[in-house]
Amino acid sequence: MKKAILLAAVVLTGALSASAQTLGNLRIMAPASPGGGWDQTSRAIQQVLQDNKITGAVQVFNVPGAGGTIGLAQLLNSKGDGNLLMTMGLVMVGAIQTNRSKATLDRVTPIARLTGEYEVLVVPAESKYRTMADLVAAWKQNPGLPIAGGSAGGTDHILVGLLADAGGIDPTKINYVPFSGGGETLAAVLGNQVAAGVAGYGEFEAQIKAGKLRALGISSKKRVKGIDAPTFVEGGLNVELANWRGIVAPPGISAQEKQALVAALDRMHASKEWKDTLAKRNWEDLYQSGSKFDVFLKVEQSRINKVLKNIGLVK
Amino acid sequence: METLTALLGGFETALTPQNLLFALIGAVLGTAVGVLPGIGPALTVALLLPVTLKMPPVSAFIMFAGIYYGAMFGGSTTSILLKTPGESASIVTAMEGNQMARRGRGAAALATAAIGSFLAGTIGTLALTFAAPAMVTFALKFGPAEYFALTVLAFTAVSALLGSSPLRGLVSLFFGLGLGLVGTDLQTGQARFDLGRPELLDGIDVVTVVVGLFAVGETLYVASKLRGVQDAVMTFRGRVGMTRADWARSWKPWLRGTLLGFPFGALPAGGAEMPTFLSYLLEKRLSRHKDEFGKGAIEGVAGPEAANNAAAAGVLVPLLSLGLPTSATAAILLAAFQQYGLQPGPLLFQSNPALVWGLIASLYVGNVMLLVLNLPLAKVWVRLLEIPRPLLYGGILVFATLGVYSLNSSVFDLVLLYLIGLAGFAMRRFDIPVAPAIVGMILGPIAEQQFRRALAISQGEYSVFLTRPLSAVILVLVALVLVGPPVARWWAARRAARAGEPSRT
Amino acid sequence: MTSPSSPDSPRPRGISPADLALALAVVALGVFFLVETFSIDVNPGYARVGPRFFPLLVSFGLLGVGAWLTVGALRGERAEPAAEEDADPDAPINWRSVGWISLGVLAQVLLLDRAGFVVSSALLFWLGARGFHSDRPLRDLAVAVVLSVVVYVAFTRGLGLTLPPGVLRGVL
Repeated sequence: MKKAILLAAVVLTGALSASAQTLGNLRIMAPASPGGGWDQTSRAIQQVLQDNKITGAVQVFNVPGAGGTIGLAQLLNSKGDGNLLMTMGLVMVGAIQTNRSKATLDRVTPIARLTGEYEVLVVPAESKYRTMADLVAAWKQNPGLPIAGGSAGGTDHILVGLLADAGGIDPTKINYVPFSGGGETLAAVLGNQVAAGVAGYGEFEAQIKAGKLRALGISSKKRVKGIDAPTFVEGGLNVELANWRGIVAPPGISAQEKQALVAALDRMHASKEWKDTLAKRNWEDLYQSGSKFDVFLKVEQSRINKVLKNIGLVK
Repeated sequence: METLTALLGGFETALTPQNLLFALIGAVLGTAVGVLPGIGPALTVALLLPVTLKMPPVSAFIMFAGIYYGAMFGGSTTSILLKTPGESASIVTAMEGNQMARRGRGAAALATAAIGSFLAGTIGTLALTFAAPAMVTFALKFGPAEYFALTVLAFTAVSALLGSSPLRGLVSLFFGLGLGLVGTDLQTGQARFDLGRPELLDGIDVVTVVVGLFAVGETLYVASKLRGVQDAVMTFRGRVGMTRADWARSWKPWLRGTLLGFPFGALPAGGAEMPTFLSYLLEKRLSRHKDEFGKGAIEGVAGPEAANNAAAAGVLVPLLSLGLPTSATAAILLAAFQQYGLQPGPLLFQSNPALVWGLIASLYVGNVMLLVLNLPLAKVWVRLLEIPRPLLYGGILVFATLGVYSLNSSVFDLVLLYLIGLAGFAMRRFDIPVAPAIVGMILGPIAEQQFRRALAISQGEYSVFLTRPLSAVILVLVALVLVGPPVARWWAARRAARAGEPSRT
Repeated sequence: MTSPSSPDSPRPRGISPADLALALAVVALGVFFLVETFSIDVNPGYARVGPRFFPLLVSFGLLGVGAWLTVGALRGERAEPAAEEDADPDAPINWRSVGWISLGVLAQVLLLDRAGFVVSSALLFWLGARGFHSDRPLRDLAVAVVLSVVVYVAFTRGLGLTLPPGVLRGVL
């Protein structure tokens, strides 16, 4: 018994010192411009990892372009670098497929899914659609109902495709009108230019709270505390989608290196500072690490591929 | 009255020594990044976001406001003196202001730009303070059909920029339109003209084109035909400020530019470029010195610079009252709000009045600071030209490549910059004006996307452009701009003929 | 805008090869855009106007102005080089200067990631100064190094911009 405890202790300290060794200084690549979602996530991780002394110094650098696929290509070239991480997410999964990127997520080492944001579908306050059911009924009559959202093939478009499919409307016939960025979508809905609009909850939050927009549905599984919106599932559409963000490492790192990175992020997630960050920024906690995230990433890729095929963006 | 009380409260916040210091830091930093080609306020604020996290939000925003306005002030400096604009909204200034500088009027051009910027910024901030809700209601009436009509209107401004030969101007325009097509088509997600390079999927950044055609193209051309002795100091371009005549010719363009720029800035898809183009066209049409345009007419600097700054103030209207970012910098400012867990919008004025009104008050303060900072600096900046040419152009090359590299941290963009620079070199050699290319590059994609968006929303009805009243009004205006001058000329000629005097046109 | 040509000699007549080359280059650009337009995938949509429509307009526009330029060039028209400050429009092009500057930009492109910003920018500056016939290479070098170091430190420390440190990793 004593021996066993001793052995466990040796193994544990061994593992800890191993992780301390490999996780000296880290570099996190944000595959987007400064100020964007991936950049902010990377810098939040940097802050918590450093302040809690989970790792040594953390450096964040930006490799923007093509939905993150340029950064991804660079990550794939850094094979075996156990001190490099890259933030990524649903947007990258979609961009790889719509851009027919040569760099894919098949070879990366998944580490963890961190945060996310749910999507909402809104109509102007004066709209005649009171519920999701009203909208779906009208949508069935006229699939050409203009629905605004972000760029073609992006998260918003994917959601509209999923909703159409679930509501029995031919996804190839829908009239999705892409705007550049959430701001323009918001203006289009507020100005009554379109029937409905889709974006992350944060983009519409202020206007929903001010009563200028009505949220007909949110893409979460259950109602979210503090958000006055029924889920799509409640509205009879079996659709769930989170615009999640996660973190991956280059291909070809050792199992120990992967384990050390997973352990570091587990510790970060457990810290109080991380919880405060999530609360302050209104990020949903979607933490999942290790093999769970490996599986999730595979399933999500094939699901997104199916939607993009349905809406005719990927052949 | 309520607004005034709130604004006074804002001044209390903005005028604390600590916040004044942050406003000053912001103004200086903003002027500095504005002066450098390619490094804009959006990148600067974005890079500073993590640094400011530990500052009180009010101070951080006061500093950001200083950077934001400061960059607009600074942007005109290098455009006028060196013809190396760093962003698309100062290309008109680069053309007309640089012509003034060559005629020894550099200090006057800088002064009219600075005073115009101050005036426009202050009037714009006043409008932001008192007219924001009304502006927002109006701005939301603009849908894709209206934006398309607006771009058509702005395209008419090309006629004022074509230069001596319309054919060569059109070559430039179509070249720019072509560059604007590169990248993923927003409406369908299809790649266009990407040549299989992922770096081209996001399109070519307009900063790369502006810096390439102007700074790099100019450097190559001047070097290839360098006149005079080795290592000579640039010709002395005069440090005389604005004369009484300059004032008389500037004040109306300042006001007109402000009136044009502010509403465009407030439009969710307006931008700062369109009003500068339109202001230039307007001033050229109204001026009694038409022949000076293209050779350094002060109206052509005063109007567009005021328009540029008023648009910058206008951008804050939808940002603060709706949480709606309408420019790259506004998007970063929105991210800054979110970093503090704040959501701009109607509720922010109630939930955090100290922050909002402190920010608005600091805009007034910042503007005064910038004017005080920039007017005396005008005469210092002119001395930039006394740097020996090899060093001056060496520095331009370093800053041009730094600015373009910082866009995406990618050397691919530097290769693009060089190729576009070669195009700019060839265009100078063959007397093809570069400004229409920039106009095409900016307006082309807006026109195309809004046109197709409008048709998607109308489900294929082409009539939307005429059945929507606002769109129809703008298109009628386009017709007037195009048909007006010939009719007016004909009218004048007829009257002159009747009076028995020779026609002056 | 263009300065008057030397009054004593009338312009030489005949086709200018350079002007013809430019005209044909514009035509070639139009052909390129036209060909590439047909490789854009088209999805059905409500807009009726797909992703090929505007590219087609631009291609035809380029072909049109290119053809017009070609006709002009064949008639012997030639462009007057622009008159810029410090530039003598009538001087022949000094290709050596263009070469020096091109070499400088090439150095920036090839060495930025490998040797770092300070080294590549200093080289760009120095080669750029060569292109302007500088006869003080040592002064240029000193200014180049000082400027590159100052810019590097100001932007990486002051603004937190990431620039490749290259060979100076750990030194600056």
